[in-house]
Amino acid sequence: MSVDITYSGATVGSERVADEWERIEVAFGPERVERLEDSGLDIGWDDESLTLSMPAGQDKATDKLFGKLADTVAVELGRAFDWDVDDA
Amino acid sequence: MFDVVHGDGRFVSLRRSSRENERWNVEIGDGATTGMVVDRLAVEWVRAEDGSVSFGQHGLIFTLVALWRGYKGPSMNWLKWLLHPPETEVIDFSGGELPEPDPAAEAEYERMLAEFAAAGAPLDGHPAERIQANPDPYAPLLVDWLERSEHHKHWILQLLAVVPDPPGLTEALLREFGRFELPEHWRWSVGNALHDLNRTDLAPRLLPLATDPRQGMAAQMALIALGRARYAPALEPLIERLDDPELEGHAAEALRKLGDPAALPALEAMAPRSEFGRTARQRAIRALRR
Repeated sequence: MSVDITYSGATVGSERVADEWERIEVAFGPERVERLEDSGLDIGWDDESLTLSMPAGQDKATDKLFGKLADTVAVELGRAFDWDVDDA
Repeated sequence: MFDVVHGDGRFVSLRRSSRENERWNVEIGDGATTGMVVDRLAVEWVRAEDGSVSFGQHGLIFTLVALWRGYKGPSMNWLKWLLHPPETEVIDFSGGELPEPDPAAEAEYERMLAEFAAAGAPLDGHPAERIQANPDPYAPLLVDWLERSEHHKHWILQLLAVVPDPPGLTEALLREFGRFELPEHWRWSVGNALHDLNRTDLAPRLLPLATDPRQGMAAQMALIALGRARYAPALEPLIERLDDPELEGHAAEALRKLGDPAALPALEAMAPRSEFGRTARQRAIRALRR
């Protein structure tokens, strides 16, 4: 089982999403993203959305780090594309 | 929705259609309604008298149990997600889709229970909790049964996950990964377990197993393990797999983790066929250009 958080909004093209994710990753810290990936974080995007998916059952430190990443992505994608977290 | 990867009457292995890497292994209990809570999340399922099973996640009661069991929200997003979960996903198995218990599987299960009980390591009740409390008597038997079992390998692998560093597990997993006569979905789980060991020293032994053409999509997580280990000899085999529709995304991910810019031309020339392949390619190209 996993927690999936999807950010979406207007179509901007996957290259722009990739650019923005790269910026977020560098700012957040590639080593911290890698630590989350080692715990199973999956990152995916298309022309109009980006999804973070994290397997359940993580330790508290990983939960906290994932929460920080999720909040950072929400702020940055909101700023860059006016995207928001999907309610569904 | 979920695909049924495997079902034998006692265990059902599910994979969400949208997520090729994610499998849920669920034990179907004898009761009419049962469920499990894993940290914050919950699944529930109902087995009707006709043998059909309906399966859902994020039921309100189970979510409340999850809260009671210690949810401490690190993020408003998670809290929002938890309190307003996605629409419950339900899968209905007709009697035909979920076979009746296989007598051979049942017999093996009984043999396993008896053997564990004789060794002072009972498996009945809540085995994961028992094992967590006292892993030593369980570890050698579980490792042994991982290879011996014909019907309950997934369950044994799940139980081994709560044993800290079981002696002999790595070797057993490597042997299982090379048993190409076993189902692909089982070898995928073994490759995933080898990935989770996060042992860079295994890379020289993992490479020939992961790149054997008989491995098929079961190689996915092992390829990523090779990249994470930064095992330089994996460069060319990973580049070759960028053309494989079942492995392209994992190969691209592995090349990003490997970190060798020599992969850039191949990644730039890659024509991904899957969403994951496209994302992994974009990430890898950007990371290797830095």
